[in-house]
Amino acid sequence: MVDDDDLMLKIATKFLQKEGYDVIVAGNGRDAMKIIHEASVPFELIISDVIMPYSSGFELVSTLKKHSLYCNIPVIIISSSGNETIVKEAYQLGVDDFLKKPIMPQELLVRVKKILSRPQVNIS
Amino acid sequence: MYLLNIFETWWNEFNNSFYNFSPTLYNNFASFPFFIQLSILFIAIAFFTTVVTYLRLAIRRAVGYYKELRKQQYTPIIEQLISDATIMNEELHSGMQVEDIKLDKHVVAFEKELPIKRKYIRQIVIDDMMHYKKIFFGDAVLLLKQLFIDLNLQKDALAKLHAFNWERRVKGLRELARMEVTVQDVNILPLTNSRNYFLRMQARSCYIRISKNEPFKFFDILKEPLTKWDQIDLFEIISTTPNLNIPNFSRWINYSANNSLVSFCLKLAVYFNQQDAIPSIIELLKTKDHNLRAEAIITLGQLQADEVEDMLCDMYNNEPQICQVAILKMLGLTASKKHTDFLAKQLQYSSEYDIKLTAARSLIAHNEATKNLLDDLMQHTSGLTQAILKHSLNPLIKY
Repeated sequence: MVDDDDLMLKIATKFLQKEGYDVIVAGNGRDAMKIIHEASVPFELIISDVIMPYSSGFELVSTLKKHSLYCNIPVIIISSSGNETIVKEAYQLGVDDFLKKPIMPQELLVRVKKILSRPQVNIS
Repeated sequence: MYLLNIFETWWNEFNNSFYNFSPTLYNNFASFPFFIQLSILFIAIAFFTTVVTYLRLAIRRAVGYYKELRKQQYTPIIEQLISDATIMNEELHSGMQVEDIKLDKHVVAFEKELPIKRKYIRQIVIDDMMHYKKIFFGDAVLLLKQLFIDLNLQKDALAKLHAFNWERRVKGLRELARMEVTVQDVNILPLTNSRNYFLRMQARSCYIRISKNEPFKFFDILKEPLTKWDQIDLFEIISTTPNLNIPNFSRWINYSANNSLVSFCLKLAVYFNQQDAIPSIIELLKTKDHNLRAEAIITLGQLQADEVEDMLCDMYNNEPQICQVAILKMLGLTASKKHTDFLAKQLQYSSEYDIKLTAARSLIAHNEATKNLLDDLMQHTSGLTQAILKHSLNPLIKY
């Protein structure tokens, strides 16, 4: 989960952990990319904010999609702006879902479950 | 002369006080020439002011640092308590309805784990709740509002409305609006007429958001004209507030003496497509204010009130130019095809550029219905009329 808002990270993480998910957090796209590179186990899903310091959510998605190892990791974007341009850009980059803040925790959970229940693409 | 007398009196008083304070020091001071005495006095005042300013800065920084420390100390506990009561609420997760959930044990937990009676702790709780509200919505956030009320935090927000500092008042209004806590009109309505722009707008925004039955009641007591900025801001608030109870704006169109408010209500009537407001707008055509009458005419066009077209055409010759242009524009907006000859006549025979241009555009707005008429006009007109027609027919030219 990538977001520069600590409260969002804490609460969403707690909520997802309660449902049995392992959550790793990062405060911006740059740190997230570093964590993804260094992780021993591949990530199953990335939930990211758009506007963050150093590297935005869109930059993160675009880097992931260009990388052969990570291009199949599903991404959910959470943004405080539901602006048509942002939504369009997100889907053009290849994100799997888009949520506008404020979010309903249950809705996030449903969308996470839905994406994770899809058959995984084996890239190896 | 008068100022000199004042200075002399003040100087004598100063000398007396100085002598009473320390006769030795005064004797030394008095031995200097007058201008040196005056300079010493200014230096002393400047030194004293600098020391006081630095002290104030140091105290403010120390207080800020101390506040930040306290915030860091209590924020994790507060976040935990809030999330336990709302997002992670056990009863909510077990499927219980929000209305049936009681937060008593969570309120007790707040009282047990925090010095909740202290003002600064209450403020940290309010700030955190506002942050929650910004990120989340749904049932959990309904519990947040419940918790806000159970902890009696609305009292703190309300107290801010009576603060001397306008920024504190704005903060109080923001807290009440964000938490959607209903308060008595008497607390907010007077602020909607404040001379301070920020306070006035925040009060109006807050009133619209939290007043469930009559969110536009402040229109009744509006004292000053609504500036264009006020209107833009209000329009943004109105168009982005969900589940707003929209009244029939004809109430103000008919009875308000505030022309800017009437003009704003005309725009709102169009935005909410209030066909019920048409009779009031027709009534407004009797107003002596030309600008307002022109706005009313255009509003009728935007609401597609083609039944008034005949009446407007009858009025046309007795109207000032601004209203004539509005009538022509209105005929283009409704595009009812009933007055194409009238429009063609204005295009051909009027000597006013604005009238010719508006008539041409209104004819073009009829699309296919006036195609033959426009071809005919192109052939049988010349000079300015033909130039205006060509200009208006060019789809690449917008203005």
